Amino acid sequence: MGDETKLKTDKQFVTLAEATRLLAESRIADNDWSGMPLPVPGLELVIEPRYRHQKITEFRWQEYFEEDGTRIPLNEEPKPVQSPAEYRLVNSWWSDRLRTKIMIYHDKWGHARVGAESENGLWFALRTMEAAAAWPIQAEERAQKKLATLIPAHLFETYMLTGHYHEVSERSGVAYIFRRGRPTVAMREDGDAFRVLCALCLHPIGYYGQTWAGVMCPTDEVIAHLLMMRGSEEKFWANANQHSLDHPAAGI
Amino acid sequence: MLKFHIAMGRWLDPMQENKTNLPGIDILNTGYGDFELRFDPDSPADVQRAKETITDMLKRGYAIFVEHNGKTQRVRKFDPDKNVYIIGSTPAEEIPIAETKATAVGRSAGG
Repeated sequence: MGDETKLKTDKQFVTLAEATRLLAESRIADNDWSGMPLPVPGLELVIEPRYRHQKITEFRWQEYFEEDGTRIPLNEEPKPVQSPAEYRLVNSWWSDRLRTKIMIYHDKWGHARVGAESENGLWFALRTMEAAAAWPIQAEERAQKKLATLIPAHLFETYMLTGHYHEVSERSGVAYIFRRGRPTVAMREDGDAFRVLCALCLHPIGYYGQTWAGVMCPTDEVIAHLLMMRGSEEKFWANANQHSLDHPAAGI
Repeated sequence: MLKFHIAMGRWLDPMQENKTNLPGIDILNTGYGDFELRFDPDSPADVQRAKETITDMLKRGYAIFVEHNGKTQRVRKFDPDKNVYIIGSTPAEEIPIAETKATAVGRSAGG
């Protein structure tokens, strides 16, 4: 796992969640206070550009073992190096009307080309379940205990029962629905109704591409959203990706 | 865990349930969920370690949040000479580290 990190365990095999825990434990002494992201086979790991262990995104698992000891080779290809002849992505956006991601490329002569990529919520959900293998359940339990100290008991019960709860910003009046494992939905009161503004997606340290999963367990991310909303709302909006509700990434 | 305990000197074992309500920092952590660092404000070594940790976190872009007058505030700076979090520009907006529990969040990668 990188040049400088080796897991210390008396077990012959560990699950991805156990590896996350062991990795976090081993990195604390080196002041990696937030732990360390763990690559998950088949998923793209995206990390904050200034995070000091950038090379972790290049790590590829070679194999894994079934519970009966059967070895399964993975042979994941390393990230391809782009050659000058290939197209370069210059812009992309989500089309609500077409429900498709539109992409503009430049070829090596600078000519623009257009491409389209369809995405849907089901694929997001399936890939998020794959990413969940890296979350220690104990971490989620501890995060929930922490959340319980930050919000009123009845809202925490709502959160445990439904996976989401809401809070209105005292500063802006914007109402937020914080959701476990999904982006936070921002709404503004408009007469008798609420007008939905967007879904705010923000992951501390990193996330797995094309999923709703961050490298931290879901309730940790809810706590991060909540604290940023309460303590630094403008930064919350500035740092989060603002997804249209029609986009699968919004998780609506 | 033992390794951490030794490395942190007099810092308390972070995964022990906090029975004594000591001040410190909770850090959102990939492996632990909520990782607790507590220090004894009467121990100079603990306080020194806390100062170094807070300074290091802010230098590396962690967002630190504290409760002040019933509201969550983001820490702007830390004054290691006075051992206070600075959340505004007036002396009333300085919070002694020994009197609060803070929560730290790593840099955001967007999403």
